[in-house]
Amino acid sequence: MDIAFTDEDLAFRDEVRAFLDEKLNPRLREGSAQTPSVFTEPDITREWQAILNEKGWLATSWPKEDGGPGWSVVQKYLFEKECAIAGAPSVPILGLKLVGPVICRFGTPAQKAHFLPRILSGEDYWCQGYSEPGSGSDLASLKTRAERVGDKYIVNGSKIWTTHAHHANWIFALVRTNPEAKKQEGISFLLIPMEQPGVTVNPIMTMANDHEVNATFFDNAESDASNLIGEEGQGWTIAKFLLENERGGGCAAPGLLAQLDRIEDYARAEPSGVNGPMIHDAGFAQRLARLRLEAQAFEVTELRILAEMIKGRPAGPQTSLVKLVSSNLRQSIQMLSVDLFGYEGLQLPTARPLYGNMAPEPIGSNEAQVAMPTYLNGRAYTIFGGSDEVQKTIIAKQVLGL
Amino acid sequence: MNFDLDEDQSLFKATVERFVQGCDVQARLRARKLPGGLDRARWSEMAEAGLIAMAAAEADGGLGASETDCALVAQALGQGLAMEPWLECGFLPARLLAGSPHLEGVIDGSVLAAVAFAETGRRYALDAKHVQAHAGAGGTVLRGEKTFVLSGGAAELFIVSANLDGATVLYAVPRDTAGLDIKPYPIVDGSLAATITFRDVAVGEPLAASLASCIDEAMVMAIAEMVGTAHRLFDDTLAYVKAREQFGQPIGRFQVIQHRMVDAYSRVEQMQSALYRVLLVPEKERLAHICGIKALVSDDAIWTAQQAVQLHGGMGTTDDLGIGHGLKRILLLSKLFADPASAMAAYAKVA
Ligand SMILES: Cc1cc2nc3c(=O)[nH]c(=O)nc-3n(C[C@H](O)[C@H](O)[C@H](O)COP(=O)(O)OP(=O)(O)OC[C@H]3O[C@@H](n4cnc5c(N)ncnc54)[C@H](O)[C@@H]3O)c2cc1C
Repeated sequence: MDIAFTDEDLAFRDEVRAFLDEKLNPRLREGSAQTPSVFTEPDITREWQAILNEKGWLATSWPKEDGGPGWSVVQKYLFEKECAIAGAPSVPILGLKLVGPVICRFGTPAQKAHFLPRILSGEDYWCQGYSEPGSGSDLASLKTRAERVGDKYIVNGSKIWTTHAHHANWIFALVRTNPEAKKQEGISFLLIPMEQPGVTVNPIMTMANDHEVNATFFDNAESDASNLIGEEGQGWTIAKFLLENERGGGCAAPGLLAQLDRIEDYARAEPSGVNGPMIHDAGFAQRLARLRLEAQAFEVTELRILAEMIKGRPAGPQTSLVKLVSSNLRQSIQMLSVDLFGYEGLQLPTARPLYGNMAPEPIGSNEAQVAMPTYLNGRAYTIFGGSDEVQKTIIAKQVLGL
Repeated sequence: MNFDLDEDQSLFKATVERFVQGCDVQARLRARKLPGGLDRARWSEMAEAGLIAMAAAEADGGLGASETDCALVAQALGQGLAMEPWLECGFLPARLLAGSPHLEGVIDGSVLAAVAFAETGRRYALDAKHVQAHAGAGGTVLRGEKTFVLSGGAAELFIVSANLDGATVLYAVPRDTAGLDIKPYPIVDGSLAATITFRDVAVGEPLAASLASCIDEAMVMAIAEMVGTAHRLFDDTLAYVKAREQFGQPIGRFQVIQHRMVDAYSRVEQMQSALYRVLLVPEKERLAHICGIKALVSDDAIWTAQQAVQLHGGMGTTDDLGIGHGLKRILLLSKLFADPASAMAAYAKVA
């Protein structure tokens, strides 16, 4: 047993470090750190996307022939780890990490040639239309209807929780093309242009005052039949591929550990009001220590999965735990941050963004200013992409055989 | 032994229930956009209903209600997800202004009073250090800074704790007094708190009340409001899991949801009993005991509110339901005057 990376991998890591050092300007760092919502806003992510695209390091989860960097799983891991430690912004993941790999895997040559370059360049900005008001955890019950009429699909229905639909010009949606077929079998994976009269996007504000999600309505919206991915009825299989593609090979722990380091730095400065800084408060120090141990153990869980992938073996059942563990750990860390800042942790600015010249002045530090909205938005981690309850049911059945 | 409400208590409770009717999320979001982030017409209504006067002694023109009466009102306000800052701008000022000529305006609702007790870098400490009272030939002036003045963005009168020769005393300072610099900022429950700088602000005689003992009482009210809010979130969530269907059945049919709801039910009942205990059982170390119960109730209220969000799924994360507003108010109350960790530490020392 051995937990070390090879010299070659470490040389790659150093190259990534040097690149990040050079290219992460203060605006990008600030934009990334001062974002309380789950997704970073496009003005920040797109600037970073352009820098990565120029370097050829953008579409890390795409095959080389489709525009990916051709990295090994270890290189991909190390890149994500260094980005997390350096506090780099995310890239627009809906296009690059969700629909992109689907198009790479299931798209026709024409679809690839059309869509992939536009994702890389940032010309297209994507959102995801899976959930509906009546179909959340039970996604397969979705009702949005797409009817084939000539060489077009006519789409009617509504999607909800569409993250960044107000920024997007395309949506990838699960739609029902065959209402007669069994639940899953009538579903197709359709790409739909957003900029048309039949599509309406209404904002939904989060309890932290962020506009991140929307309700998206289709009223005789149109999409060319050539925008169907795969076959009619194959939507569920594709959606599952997308999910599985996202799981495994994850790299959440380094970011969580970096956040704990930041909290520790602030705790060294934050007065306890009694004796010395908060880091000397026994209760606080123990909570911090405990979360660090959990995050460190979780880092090894992620490395165990990585090791299987290096060997080309199917990832083990630990994969199913990754989302569960990371989202709960993240929420505990977010709560710790709120608690650290005392009354200052209760500020909840209504103006956005919290970076740049127009940002409202923080009460205390910048970190104190984002603590509460980050915590509030963070409640979503155990809800989206398969809630905790649903994940646990799946693990109980599929992993534990209960 | 008897845990039934008496006639006065039932009346107070009914008054609050009438008052909070129609206070839905839309009304709340509208009110937050008004100047000061507060609906003054509703504040006057609350005052007319005697809900502020109840906290003042009869000798001072108040109704002289008991602590239990006041706590039941706080709980009912929590249960109604009221957005009015009754605790911080009604109850607490009414106590602190005992015997002061400023009390009348506060009781009748014409003057909104905010209490400036917190100081930057001093966390939950209640002794004043950063605002000093300097007594000179021309009278007393205040110098320094306060922060986290709840509803400081809307208030016309500030009750300020200041250090006078090493002791913490209180002064009433009208908003238009020269030398006040008020910077409002939004906080978690949607209200506007303020940081206030005092530059040689002339003040009269100190108030007669003791900050520490009034804060003890206000902590009891915070406990009661959290209990009421947690009750409400529990009720709303119970109704939701019965109504929301996924996989062809109400989500409340899933065993994990049933057990979670039972856990929440048990915590809410424990919280209610903890509140009654602090109200009804005489304790030698009353302050410490209040701290302990505040820590316990805060933890359980936060847990219950987080579960309410979780079980509402995506809906729970929005600003469109009372669920999020309840969670946010609980977060504020859980840290008001002491957070669960510091309150529990204070209790553990004497327990
Ligand atoms: C911030 C945010 C961003 C999102 N972004 C997107 C997006 O871009 N695109 C998109 O399509 N969707 C998105 N979603 C939607 C998300 O995937 C759904 O919220 C999620 O699937 C849960 O569905 P729901 O909200 O309808 O909750 P419900 O399914 O109604 O669940 C309510 C509660 O019941 C529980 N529950 C449900 N079924 C069971 C069961 N069988 N056993 C036990 N418990 C159960 C759940 O765990 C939850 O606690 C987003 C959600 C959020 C909060």
